[in-house]
Amino acid sequence: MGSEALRLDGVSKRFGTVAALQEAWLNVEDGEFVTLLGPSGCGKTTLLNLIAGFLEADAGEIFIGGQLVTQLPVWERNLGMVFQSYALFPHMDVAKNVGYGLRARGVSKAEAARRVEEALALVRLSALAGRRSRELSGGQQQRVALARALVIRPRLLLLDEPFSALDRNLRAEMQIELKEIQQRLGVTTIFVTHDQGEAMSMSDRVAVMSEGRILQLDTPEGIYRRPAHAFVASFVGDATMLPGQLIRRNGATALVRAAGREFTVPTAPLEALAEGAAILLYLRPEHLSPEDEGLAGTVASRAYLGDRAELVVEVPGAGRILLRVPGVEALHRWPVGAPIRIGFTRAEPVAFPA
Amino acid sequence: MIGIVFRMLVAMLLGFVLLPVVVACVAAFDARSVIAFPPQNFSWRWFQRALSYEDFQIGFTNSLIVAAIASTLAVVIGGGVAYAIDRYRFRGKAALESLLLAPLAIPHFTIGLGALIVAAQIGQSRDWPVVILTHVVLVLPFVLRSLYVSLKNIDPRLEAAALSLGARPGRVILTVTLPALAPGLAGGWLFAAILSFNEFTASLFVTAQRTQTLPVAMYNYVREYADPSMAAISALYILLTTVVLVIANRFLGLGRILGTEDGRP
Repeated sequence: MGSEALRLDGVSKRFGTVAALQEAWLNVEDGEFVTLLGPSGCGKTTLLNLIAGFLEADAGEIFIGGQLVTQLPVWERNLGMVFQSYALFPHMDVAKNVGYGLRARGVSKAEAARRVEEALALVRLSALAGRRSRELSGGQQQRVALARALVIRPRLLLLDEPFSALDRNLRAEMQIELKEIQQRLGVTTIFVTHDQGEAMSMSDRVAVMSEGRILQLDTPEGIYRRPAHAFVASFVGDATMLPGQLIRRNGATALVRAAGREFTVPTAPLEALAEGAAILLYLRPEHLSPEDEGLAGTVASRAYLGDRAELVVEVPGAGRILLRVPGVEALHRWPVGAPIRIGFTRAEPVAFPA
Repeated sequence: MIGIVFRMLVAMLLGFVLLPVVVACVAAFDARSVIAFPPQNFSWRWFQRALSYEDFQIGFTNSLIVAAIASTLAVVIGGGVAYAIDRYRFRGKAALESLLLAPLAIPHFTIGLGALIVAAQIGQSRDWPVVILTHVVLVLPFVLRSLYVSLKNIDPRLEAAALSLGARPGRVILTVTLPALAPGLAGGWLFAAILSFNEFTASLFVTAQRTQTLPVAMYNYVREYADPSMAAISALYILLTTVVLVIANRFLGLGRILGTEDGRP
């Protein structure tokens, strides 16, 4: 465990009557890559702007590297920020853009030139130092913005949906590059996105947010396999929801019944429920597979995606269940209308109060 | 068929707009002593007369001085007010905004007359300050509008990025906001200067013999003479404005000045 890079102690922010952020608590270790994930309006950008200092918290305290910064103005926080629109200065060339923060800090010319060169090499743009920002592609602009934020050796790197304006292939490439740079420099990074794939692939930990609250802060695996909240289970990854009842709790696990079968699920989300209470069972499509002893249904629709296919199976008395099967198998064995039996042997179901 | 009709309509519209200009310019080259059309003998004499006439020389210099100072003041005041209106919320903001845009709807002679009365009340003669301040009032709405649009078009995240990189607010204004606003400032200044240079009605009230601007000098001239000097000076006026606009277009882009493009890269 490294030392603490960022700590939020019960930070809240209201805009008029809207509670944009309600009591956010967060601890980020040195060198960690933490993503704030959630739909638009969930408060993730508000939280980032509070960390950056563009907004003032109504309550709570923010610490960066152990220093209390709640009242510190933006320009004294020493953070590197990358914006969705890149926000490159249009009247400066690439080198001037990257060197802006160094000039503002009064770094000597020779030292600044050396560090700008270093930063441009880091993002593989050394050849374009003399270009204007409007002469660059989206991906190049993104790299300049990253170099500009990193050259000041910030205590935190803050990224506000930096890839949402890029097309899919470029986005994947930039994700890998950002992650590599982040690991090489070991810079603590707070990344804001609504794209769960982006969050899962890049982060050490993910904070899933909804309606101004951090619902769960966990590793990508934890978020996916042990969601603590129904919203987390449905927002991250695909899931089929089946209505059912709680049968009984046995310590850390509980027994529930859905679609005429019994499932063992983690107890934690069901703590407050009485036995027999209604629940919703969440099943991941890739954990289900056709099995001989499975739940009987018919294929209602089939989407062939090459390596895999997604089948929607109509199960009488239970509803529709989504499952993922290998692509070739789907083509040969599961046309629309075919009978199928769904097995749950690999399932890792979770249940939440209905 | 529709194409031909449309083209004819466009040609007629252009002719209608340009006719007075063409007639005045052509009449300037007539050798006769009265303004007449069509001209008979080609001559430069009225240009020589216009350029050597002392009142026109003084008026031209006065107009340049008034235009330069008034538009500079208007850009400074308008820039400050536009920034405040765009970035801050304060009491009386809407009132201030409509007050500063009001001269658009007030006749120039009302403004001129008012300025004259006020100047007399506070014991000011019709001297430079009165002329210049009157022009500032007249051009301010245009400058304000143009700068307000330019400010609106600046991505606020540019300033946010500069702040996050450690620049203090004053430094951000100097190194990011002002450079990003430069085309708008230059365009607003130029627009104001051209308006001020051409302004007649209000100037007639507030100028004296010593401070009379070129349009006022021209008006005084036509009350006494009817020779084509007027046409010659009109032609020169058009030439000067055209040259300024062409240069401005070359360096700034007219679209940006007139606000038809948003000026973003």
